[in-house]
Amino acid sequence: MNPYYGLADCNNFYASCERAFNPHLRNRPIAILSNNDGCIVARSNELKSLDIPMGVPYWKHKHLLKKYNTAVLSSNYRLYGDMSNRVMEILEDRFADVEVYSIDEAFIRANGFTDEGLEKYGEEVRSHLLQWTGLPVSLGFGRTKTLSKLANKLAKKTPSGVCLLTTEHPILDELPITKVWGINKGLGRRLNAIGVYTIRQFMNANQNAVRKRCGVVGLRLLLELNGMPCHDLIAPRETRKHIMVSRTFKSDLTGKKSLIEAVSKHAARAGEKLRDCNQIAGGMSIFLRSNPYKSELRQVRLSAAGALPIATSDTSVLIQVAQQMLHSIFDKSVAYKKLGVLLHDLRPRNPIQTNLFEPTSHIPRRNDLMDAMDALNAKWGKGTLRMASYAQDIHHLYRKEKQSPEYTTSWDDILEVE
Amino acid sequence: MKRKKNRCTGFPSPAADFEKSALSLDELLIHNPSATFFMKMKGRAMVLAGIYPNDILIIDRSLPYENEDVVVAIINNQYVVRRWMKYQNGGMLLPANPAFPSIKITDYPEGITFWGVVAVVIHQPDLL
Repeated sequence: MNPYYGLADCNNFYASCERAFNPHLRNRPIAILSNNDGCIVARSNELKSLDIPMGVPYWKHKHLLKKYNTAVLSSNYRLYGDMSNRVMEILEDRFADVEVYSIDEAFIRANGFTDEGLEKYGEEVRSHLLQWTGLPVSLGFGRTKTLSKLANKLAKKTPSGVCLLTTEHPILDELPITKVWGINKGLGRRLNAIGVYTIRQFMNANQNAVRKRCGVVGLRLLLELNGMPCHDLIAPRETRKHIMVSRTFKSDLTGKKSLIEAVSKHAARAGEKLRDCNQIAGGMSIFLRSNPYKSELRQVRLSAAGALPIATSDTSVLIQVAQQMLHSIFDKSVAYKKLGVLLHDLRPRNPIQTNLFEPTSHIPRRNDLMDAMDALNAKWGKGTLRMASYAQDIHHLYRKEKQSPEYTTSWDDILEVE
Repeated sequence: MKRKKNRCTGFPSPAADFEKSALSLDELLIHNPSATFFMKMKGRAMVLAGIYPNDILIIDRSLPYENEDVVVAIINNQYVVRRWMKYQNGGMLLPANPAFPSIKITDYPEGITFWGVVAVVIHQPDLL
């Protein structure tokens, strides 16, 4: 029997994580703010229906949010990360294969089920997830990933939270093609031009015509909708193409000293990420931006990019280069709001490509030093051992005023019970 | 102190073949990590059941609610820990301290949410 694909998607994930621990949030709309309390990055169902869009600056909607008695929270990524791990572990326990797709979504493969059997099993898994973690999760199943993604959307609208979408399902006669994952407005218009409006019409369309107009991407979608898998689960830990660490400051920064500290800290964090996926970087760029919401101030975007002297993951080299770049672009007449460090040209850590003009005999020892530093920091907490260029704790540069407790990752923050 | 990673000189340890990892409290107390949460006890409602202020509770949300289990429930947006007693018409959440009242389920028409079963209590005697 052919396997089924499934998509498990946590409903309003960030808001649900907050609700799972704070009963006061149960019947209130919730807005979650981005890393620096800048924008709304997640909304509960109530806010979605109130037409407050995603990604808008928080201050613009402050009054409206207050009017609806909205709970506004800073993002608590440690909590979300831990809850996500719990959901993924439970899914891995229940299904043959799991591809973690994002913090709140996973594709799964289920073998050896009948249609009814799978739907019933899905309901059981969903109720376990709800009882064990407190999080509502929707499950969509189909013979392909594309069908399972569509099924998930339908599952969100059913009371059971589970939907198995067969290729014969009558709803496919009604749904417009733009509901299909991967069909954007442009592709939709091109399909409309050949008289294809509903998903069913697309499924029955002439394959050659689709291929000619929409390329192999369109053809794959057509086959997937007809239950012929073209996309399999992707093995975890794809090698990254680049690593970006960027933050917005809570107040504008003007001093070179604090910018140097911030760029050093970002470079160090990028180095950690780089070593975590066992890679080295050949190039780096940094960028600085003024505050776009203060139009009365001078608006600039500054950036510098360049190759590293030798591909490396050594934090001290990354910091040194980042600082040099900062020196080269710094303009003291500007107030800065955002700073980022980007590492590119990533490649595997071994073998090291040497440069004729750079000494390399120290590299194995530097690697040991970095490994030791990462191990210490993993054991005793981030920043236990760090480069002196950001000895001062720069956490205060970022705003996180409304963060909920770290209920599951900090002993000081666990819930109290009477 | 310098120690090479793969020492192969000297006499091999006679215990090498019998090595086992040291005892782990996680292994003993946590049976389902993805459903396990920690809470801290405040108040003296359960002292006669051996649960004191500042004790750490290990809650396993995968366990079914059995009669007479010690459970965490939410009443009026408050987390409480009590003993669950099932009766024919509803049920009760009982304290383990005569100074506290019993909680009748039927007295809360808006509902009582069962959050999880207390699987383990960690008590440190000097911490009160």
